[in-house]
Amino acid sequence: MARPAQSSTTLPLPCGPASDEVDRPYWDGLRAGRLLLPRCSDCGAWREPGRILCDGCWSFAVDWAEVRAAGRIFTWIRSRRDFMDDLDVLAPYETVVVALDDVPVRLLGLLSDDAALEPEIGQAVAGWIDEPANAAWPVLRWTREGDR
Amino acid sequence: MSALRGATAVVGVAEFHYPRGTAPVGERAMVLRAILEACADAGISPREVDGFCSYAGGDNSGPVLASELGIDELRWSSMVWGGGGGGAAAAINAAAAAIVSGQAECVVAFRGMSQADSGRLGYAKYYFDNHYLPHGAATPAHVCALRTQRLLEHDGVPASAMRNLVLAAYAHAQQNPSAAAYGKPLDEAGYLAGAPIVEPFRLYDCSRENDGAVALLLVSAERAKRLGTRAAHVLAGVQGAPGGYSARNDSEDASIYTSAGFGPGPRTAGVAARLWKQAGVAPSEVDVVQVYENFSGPAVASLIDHGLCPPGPGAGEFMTVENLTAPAGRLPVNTAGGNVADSFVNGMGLAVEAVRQIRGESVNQVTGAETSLFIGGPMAPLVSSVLFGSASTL
Repeated sequence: MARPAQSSTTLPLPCGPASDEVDRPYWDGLRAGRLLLPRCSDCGAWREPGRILCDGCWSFAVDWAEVRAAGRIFTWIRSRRDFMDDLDVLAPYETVVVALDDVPVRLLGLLSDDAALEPEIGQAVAGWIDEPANAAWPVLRWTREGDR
Repeated sequence: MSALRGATAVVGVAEFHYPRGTAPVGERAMVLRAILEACADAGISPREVDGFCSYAGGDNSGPVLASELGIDELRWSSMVWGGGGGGAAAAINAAAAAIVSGQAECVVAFRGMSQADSGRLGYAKYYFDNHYLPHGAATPAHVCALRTQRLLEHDGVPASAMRNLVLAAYAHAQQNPSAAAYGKPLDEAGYLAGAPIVEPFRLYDCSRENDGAVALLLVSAERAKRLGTRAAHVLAGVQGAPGGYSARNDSEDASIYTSAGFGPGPRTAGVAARLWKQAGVAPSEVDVVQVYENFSGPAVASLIDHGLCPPGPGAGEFMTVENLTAPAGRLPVNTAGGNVADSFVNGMGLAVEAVRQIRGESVNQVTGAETSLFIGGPMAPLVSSVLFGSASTL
């Protein structure tokens, strides 16, 4: 079913800062081994990476602060078709939305642990930084195993 | 009640479709054919068409179509901005709004689609950014599956609700010779044998994709009366979403995550509440529903948002094949087969079926249908619905 990973037809994984660079510190953070998220400089509200404006106080000012890559599964799916096999994302694979433990932000990512373990909403997960061979930037993955 | 209520009506409809990638002509030719057929259905000369409304993009703008048709004067051209198929009903609403406000008199709401002209397959790089794509989330199926999984697992909506919506659509398609699933009935075992696509969606939970075109012609209620046809009056039409409800579904308010976009937001009563208020109609008074199923789960969420189906575990008791099937079900849904069993021209075929129910012309006619609801694409960043009524509802 799946094409072999890292073949001559593997395409570069879409990753890295948006063209307006508004999320660049997030990607720079991953490269430095840290999860950085934007936080309003004026009212302290957290944002998801990529947002320009604070939707609480309409401030453009932002600080990037380190956040613990730990949370719980908010929802999940399992892809059973090779939607993105040309990017070496091979089916079946599970994608989770993780509600972070320490800040009110949810992040979407691949679940990279034991595929035999059925995901459930509420399961604890920890983030780790992956460097796929076809990616110019690191990406955050999630696992239910490992040191929390 | 609103100025929109009963002031306009759909007086002409046309829809046709082909298997994806097999249209004998291009998108523009199909759109023009649909418009001509809708005009003929209404008994109105194409020269009189003075407005064009569509959604989800495309190159067939008002001026382009006006030129092809040789209309007397172009007075209105609008595209629903954002939401893709979520804007399907909103295009009809825009036509009604143009007429009610005196901007135009004879407006067509339409959609044409062909794989050759605007291929929709493959992952949509234009839509999903680098916070989605590296994680295998690349299609509307992924985003809708994420919301649907939480609808099932957290809210407690049984998966049988999704299944029965699909089975009812297939049952209806057996009476519709133009449906893709005509002659191909589906039972529970067949449904469960469908290949998993993105769990929780199996093959039969997913919409078809077709080449084809659809057009609906709207005029004022006064003109509709003069035409003497059985018109489908626009009782109410709404579009939008709660603030913060979006395709970037990773950090919005948790209370609206499993909504299809029509439900209440943190600070407002929501899109569906506006529909009922405008119409002066209660959900319990709706006779028949056409609900856009990009996927079965979002369609169930749409029915819940509109107050047509109980939320949570109660959805399972309501969503039985018997309840959802014409002519005698409590709430017949997708009576021509819907996007899953009839055809998918970005969902606009459902609007035509909603009109047919008011005209008494459905292949699965609901006896005495006076109110007929069309719900546009759910779990899109902008959603829309429109309620049609017979003259007796005015």
